[in-house]
Amino acid sequence: MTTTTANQIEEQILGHLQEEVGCELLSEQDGRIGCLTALDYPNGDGVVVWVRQLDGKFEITDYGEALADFAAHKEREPVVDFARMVCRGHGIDFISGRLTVRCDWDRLGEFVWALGSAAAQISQAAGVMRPRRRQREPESEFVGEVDRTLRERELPVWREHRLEGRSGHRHRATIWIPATHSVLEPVTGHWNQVTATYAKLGDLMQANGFRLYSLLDDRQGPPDEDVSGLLTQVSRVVQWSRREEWVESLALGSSELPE
Amino acid sequence: MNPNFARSWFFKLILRDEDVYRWDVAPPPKKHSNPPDRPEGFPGKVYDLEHEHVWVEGLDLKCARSLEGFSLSDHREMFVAFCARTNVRFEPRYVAPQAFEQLEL
Repeated sequence: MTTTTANQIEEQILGHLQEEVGCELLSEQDGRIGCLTALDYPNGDGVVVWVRQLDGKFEITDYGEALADFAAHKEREPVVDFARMVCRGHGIDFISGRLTVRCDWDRLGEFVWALGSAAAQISQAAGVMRPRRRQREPESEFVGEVDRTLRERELPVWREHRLEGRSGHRHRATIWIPATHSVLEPVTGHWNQVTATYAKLGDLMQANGFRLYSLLDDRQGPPDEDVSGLLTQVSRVVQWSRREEWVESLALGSSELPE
Repeated sequence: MNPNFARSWFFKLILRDEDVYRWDVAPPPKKHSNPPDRPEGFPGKVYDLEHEHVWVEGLDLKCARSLEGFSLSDHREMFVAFCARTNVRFEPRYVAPQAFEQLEL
């Protein structure tokens, strides 16, 4: 690589930085200056650090932005430990969730860059370490069809209604008919779903007052006998193809259902 | 959002545990970089202090674009406008709990 090429690359980098970096006074009354760096947080927001003159020195801080999403998180301790470690490496302080440092004029640029880098690193780590919000499974096509059919018959139906089982756990009833305190759990036959339904209904069964139904999806063929045998222990088992026989009973809360 | 600034808020709509729409109001200077694979209608970078984040499949709320006409709005005005934009009717409502939802004394 020639010297000329190296210089050109350097110019490109400096040009990029010049374009990205900017400082702005927050307001005439305030005196704090926001410094937009060339760094980004994982969500795409540019890292901004704040500078103000204080007793002849310059205070630089992120005002807690790096860990803003973690401020009230109950499992923040590992992230806070990591933040302390990163700050120590950059020669800056981590106080009450803020990254902060005081420096002289001649080191201002260095510390603005260091604090911005630390903020970006910590935010990146926090994003990885944060327990992901539980993603709920997309609604199955069968559940949608059951829901539509019941509504077409003007049966009042609630979805994903919370009910407390004997254990104290609050389960989500996939379909809840409030008029008859009935729980309808559509089951498509996957064993993971079958065992989850068994556990849910088993717990609800021991809490008084619920009418529990397992609805087997037999559109593609007869359901597995093992599935039926298992769910019979905790619920009344009905089949989709025979819905004309049980929908009315479900609406009326009748204890008699066709076998 | 950040008590160190007079105008630093966000308003977010959550549907079934998923963040689907958000308005940000930030102190200056502000920059948001949209992802390279953003759909049409979203610039590479947004410098406006008031901007909206729109849910895009695979990108969640990473795509932003500017919101015009709110540079002087206070928190309440922004909130009212956000509710109007998202068809949210904000009013305190009381719904009696069902018997099994009541706390045991």
